[in-house]
Amino acid sequence: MAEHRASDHQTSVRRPNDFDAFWDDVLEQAARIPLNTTVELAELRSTPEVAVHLVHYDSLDGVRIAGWYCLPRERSGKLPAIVHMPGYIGEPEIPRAGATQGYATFGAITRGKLSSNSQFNPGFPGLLTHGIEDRDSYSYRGLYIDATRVIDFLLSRDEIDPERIGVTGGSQGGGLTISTAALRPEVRAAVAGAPFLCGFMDAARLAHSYPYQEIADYLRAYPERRAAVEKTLAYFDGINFAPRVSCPISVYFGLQDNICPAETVFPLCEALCLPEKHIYPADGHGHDAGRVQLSPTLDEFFKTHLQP
Amino acid sequence: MDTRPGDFDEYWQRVCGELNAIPIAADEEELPIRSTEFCDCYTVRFTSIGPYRLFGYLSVPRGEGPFPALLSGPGYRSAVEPLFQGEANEKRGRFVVFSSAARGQRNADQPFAAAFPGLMTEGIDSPDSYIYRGIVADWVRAADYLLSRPEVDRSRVAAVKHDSLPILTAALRPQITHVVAQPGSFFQVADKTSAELDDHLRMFPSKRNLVEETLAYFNPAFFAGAVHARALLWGAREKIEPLAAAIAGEADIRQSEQSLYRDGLVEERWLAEQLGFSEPILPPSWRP
Repeated sequence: MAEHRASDHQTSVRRPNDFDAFWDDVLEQAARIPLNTTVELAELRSTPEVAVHLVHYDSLDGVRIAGWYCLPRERSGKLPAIVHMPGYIGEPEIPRAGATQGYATFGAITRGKLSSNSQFNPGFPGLLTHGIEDRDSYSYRGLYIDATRVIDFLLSRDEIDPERIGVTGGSQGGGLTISTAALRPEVRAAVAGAPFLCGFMDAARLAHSYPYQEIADYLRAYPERRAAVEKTLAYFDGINFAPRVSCPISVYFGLQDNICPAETVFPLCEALCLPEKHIYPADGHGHDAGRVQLSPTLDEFFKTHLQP
Repeated sequence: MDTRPGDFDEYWQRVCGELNAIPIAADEEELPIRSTEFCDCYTVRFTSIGPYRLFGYLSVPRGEGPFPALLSGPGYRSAVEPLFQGEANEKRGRFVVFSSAARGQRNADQPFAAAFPGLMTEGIDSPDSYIYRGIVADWVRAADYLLSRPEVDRSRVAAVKHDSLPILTAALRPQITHVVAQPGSFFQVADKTSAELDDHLRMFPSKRNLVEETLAYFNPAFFAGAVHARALLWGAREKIEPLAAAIAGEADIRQSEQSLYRDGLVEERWLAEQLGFSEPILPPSWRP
């Protein structure tokens, strides 16, 4: 019943004609910026099985970005890699578990988070509407690039097999999984859970909860800016990124999600035009998206495509 | 951490004494962007032990009070929002909600900025230097602030967060009438902070005894006898039952169904019923 109601919802998202041109231009700007990577062993966070490193690199607007890079200590040959994209409000955990299963893992710490906020720090709440009046000033223009730059980092590493890079995350991490897979064809497999950043305007109306409430708050304070906000968000909407995704993908979400409404995820799934896509709507689940129950299936998906 | 320290009561009496000696010095400022047609929102600066200046969001329902209140304390993360992520915003029209940041969290990160990971083991080698001595005091001070508000119905004040700290707060401030908690690391139940403790003990194995001695001052089991609030405790029944039994007030136990929807429904219904409402205010996707 819940699936029926949510999948009936008509999305208000429209793809701007110059969507691809906008992002190709942003990618081109980013490509001109050297990574200037530093990699430092984090002894306190390393274990006998996993070496954990704190990585820093440069991103758009000269913002210095951090990340956790985990490598299995015992390895032979090149490694497949999984990038873990961060949620909205929390600080990313160190993805050590994957490194015990034969992957290199990278926990992205995008701008605004504690280790990446010395030059850009709009706070929470705040990040979701920062600079939202214009596509060129919107916070997520740089944030999406921070996420894609992880792929550049991995491609620069001798220990990584460039043909076996995957991306995953839940909530905002799910949204960043979609945008990164769309912007970087080097991504070979993606798993997005409860994706945030899809159908922003619909979600702001449907969810009645933070973080989408930030957009509702903003529009209540500045009603005259609605058209500008809608115009900006169209360039950042996961639903509009979906046609650019070319890798196999799994998307899972809760039909009773109170943060990222299912009504905003069904259109995303529909817009993914791929020979291999696995869609898991979880009835009886909220923002957990049924992750616990689905874990073996999702692990198997990555195993199939990335062959650790 | 299984043994109650001999000076447990004195330790916490000293903390409360320090709090009592420091004026709360609350400074509220309207925050129109987070206010709605059903509530007014304010930022609040107030003082805890140290002295340390803290931060919080206060939401006050419009209309005639007094209103039941929710103390939405700082969780184990860097930021607080006016209301927990995912909860129906309309709850701020029913309850006075005070979402407070503890020392180290955003907007309360001067002079101490917490690291995540890192906060859990900050100063852990001694109960006097452990950061949670201050963080518990910050929770208690947030309760003091909330209880000082004239809009609050003091017969209905719930401390809510998914870790142990609401239990500690309710023990140190018996004016708290209801508690929702999920005892974690301080109760030897694995949670998101466990890996940090493991890291610390792997790096400094000789300090295990010191760490255990420190954590004993924060074990909710040793606070339970002083908790007269009605409690909802989340966790595996076999682990939580002794704690629930030790709580002086009545305690309900719920085990997660690994569904934030189903667990959320249980919690919202429990809170609504306990605080005098026939129906909870649910997010739209949870409504029948």
